[in-house]
Amino acid sequence: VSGTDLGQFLQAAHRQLTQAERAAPPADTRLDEIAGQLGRLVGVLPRYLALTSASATGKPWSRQAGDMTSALGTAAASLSRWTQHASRPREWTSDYAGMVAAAADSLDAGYELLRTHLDASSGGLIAGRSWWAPVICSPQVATAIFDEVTALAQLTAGHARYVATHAEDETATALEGAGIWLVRAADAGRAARWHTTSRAEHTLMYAIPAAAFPSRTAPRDRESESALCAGILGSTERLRHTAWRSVAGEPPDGGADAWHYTASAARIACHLASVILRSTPDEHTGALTVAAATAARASAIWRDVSTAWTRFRTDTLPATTAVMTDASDLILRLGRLAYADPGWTPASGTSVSPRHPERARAVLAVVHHTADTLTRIAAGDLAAIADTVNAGRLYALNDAASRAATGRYVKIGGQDAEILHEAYLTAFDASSRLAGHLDQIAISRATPSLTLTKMRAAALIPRDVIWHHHHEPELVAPTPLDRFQAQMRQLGICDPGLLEQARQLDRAAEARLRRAALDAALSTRAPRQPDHRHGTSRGG
Amino acid sequence: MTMSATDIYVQHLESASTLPALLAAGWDAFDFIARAAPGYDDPDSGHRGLVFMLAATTACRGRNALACAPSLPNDDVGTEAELEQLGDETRAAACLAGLAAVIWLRFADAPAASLGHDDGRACAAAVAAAAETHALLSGGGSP
Repeated sequence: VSGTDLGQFLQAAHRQLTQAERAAPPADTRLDEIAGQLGRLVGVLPRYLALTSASATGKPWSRQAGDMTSALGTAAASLSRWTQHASRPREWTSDYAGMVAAAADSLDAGYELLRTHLDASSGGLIAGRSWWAPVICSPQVATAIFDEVTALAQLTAGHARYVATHAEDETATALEGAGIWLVRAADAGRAARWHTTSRAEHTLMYAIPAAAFPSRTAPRDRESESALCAGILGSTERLRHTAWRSVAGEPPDGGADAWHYTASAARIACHLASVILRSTPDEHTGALTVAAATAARASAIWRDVSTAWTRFRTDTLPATTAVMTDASDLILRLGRLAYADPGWTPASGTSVSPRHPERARAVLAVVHHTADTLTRIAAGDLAAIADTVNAGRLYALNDAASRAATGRYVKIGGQDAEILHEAYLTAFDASSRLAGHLDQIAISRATPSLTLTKMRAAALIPRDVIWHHHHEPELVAPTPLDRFQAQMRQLGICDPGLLEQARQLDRAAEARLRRAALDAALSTRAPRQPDHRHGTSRGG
Repeated sequence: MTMSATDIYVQHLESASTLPALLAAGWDAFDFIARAAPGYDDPDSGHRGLVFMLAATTACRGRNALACAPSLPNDDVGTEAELEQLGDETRAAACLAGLAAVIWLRFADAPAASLGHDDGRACAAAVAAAAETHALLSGGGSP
């Protein structure tokens, strides 16, 4: 986690524009300089809207969203002559120009932060890069971003019109024109509001961090409680990143052995979570007791996943992978939070006295992050396993009597992998339940993981979708992956840049079609039936 | 006198005189640990319960590594030992750790120069998995 969030950039932009309102441009200021920086600022705003455009598609306010983007584009075009020549001088001729430039820089940085999670291709299609991508495109956050752009457009319109009063000739005309279009953009933005955004939605938007893959911090002897918590948060972030890659169809190395190890680590992590929750003061609500029991149940279910893996292998030579190291770091540090043994390892056992946390809220937050991460690991591994089955790379242990005739392992198909499918779905449900309890605890005790609660509420991980997404080829778009690229080649186009753009369009189109196929699968899914084994509701 | 389950696997490992026989004996021994260890995974009844699940995981890794060896024969030695012969948690940990140590010794002794590339890689991965399994079950340290 980089420690940088979107709120820092958006609030800085607001602050700089508001301060600039009080810094009247002196008579000798270069107004072309200000016009150029205003043009830069205006040019960034529609890019925010483009990133969230996926959430507007098909919504009643999509037309107003289009109007807003169009108006902002026209405003930016009015100033393009000055924007093209906008440079960064050693010294601004006025504080005013410097403040507007700083606001443009802040907005640009905020946009780049969002782009670490998702990317809008030239074809207007969105590709996710992290678990935050669906959160950013969720109605809650997309609307908050819409509000933010509306407010900034209104604020910038005031600047454009004010500077126009000091300018002459075509500079004045361009600034006046930009101001008019910015006001229209703000009007369209207000008309497009389909509901009044809440403070919570803005808080979640401000909390969007830069997507980061933190470097590993190896556990050391006798780490303090805060170092243990920081280390666990780093491990969960790395594991979540890996899980996202699996969901996105780019599973890490390791195959069956990595999935097996992760399942065993999840079993231990849930047990340790249960110990921590039992030894944390409950404030007489009973919530922690319930969560501890849920964690113990999740631990038993992950044990079943681990046991299932003793019957399967992939065709890769086992090796210790980064995800196994991260999972190992996670359980080592969780164990040292759970037990009063600063050198605890799994071999130390479970008869050590539980440790009582010094900062209960921080410790509850890392347990919350752990539970959420296990949910995503279940989804990610399930997706990667489905891909492996489809590729014919998963093998089951043959029964002893048949080995001489048919070998020690037999290649298996989708039906044969059902035991893994079921085990992972059950683990997904159990981990989700635990994370859900901790969502509530985060709210009631205002833990540092409150943002995680909001993030989870904005974009729940679709249960059972991942498997079907990867497991049922008929759900995947049948379009050839190189359709645009092939047509470009047929037309005799050899320009590498154009071909690369075509390739990106193909990839984006495939992703979009996959998403549409998934949505269709979700909407036609049979109603859930009660699961008598675990007393839970399960998908059809 | 009846041999214990682990004694049978140890005997097969020690009597293997060819690479295919050693690979098969190693595969069987890892398989035994992988099947036996999860039965002792109970953090509520035994203080070392968590370690058995990890030991099963590393034993599977060793077994899977040997499955990548081209010289591994299809048919195994034919031993399906009774798991209950291992006894209580402490004795089970000691027996399985001992078996992992023998796997480690036999494969660490395999003449690397005479192994083909893929057999050599599989054996090296098996050595690492055996060492890790032993360390987990014995509370740390190399065999």
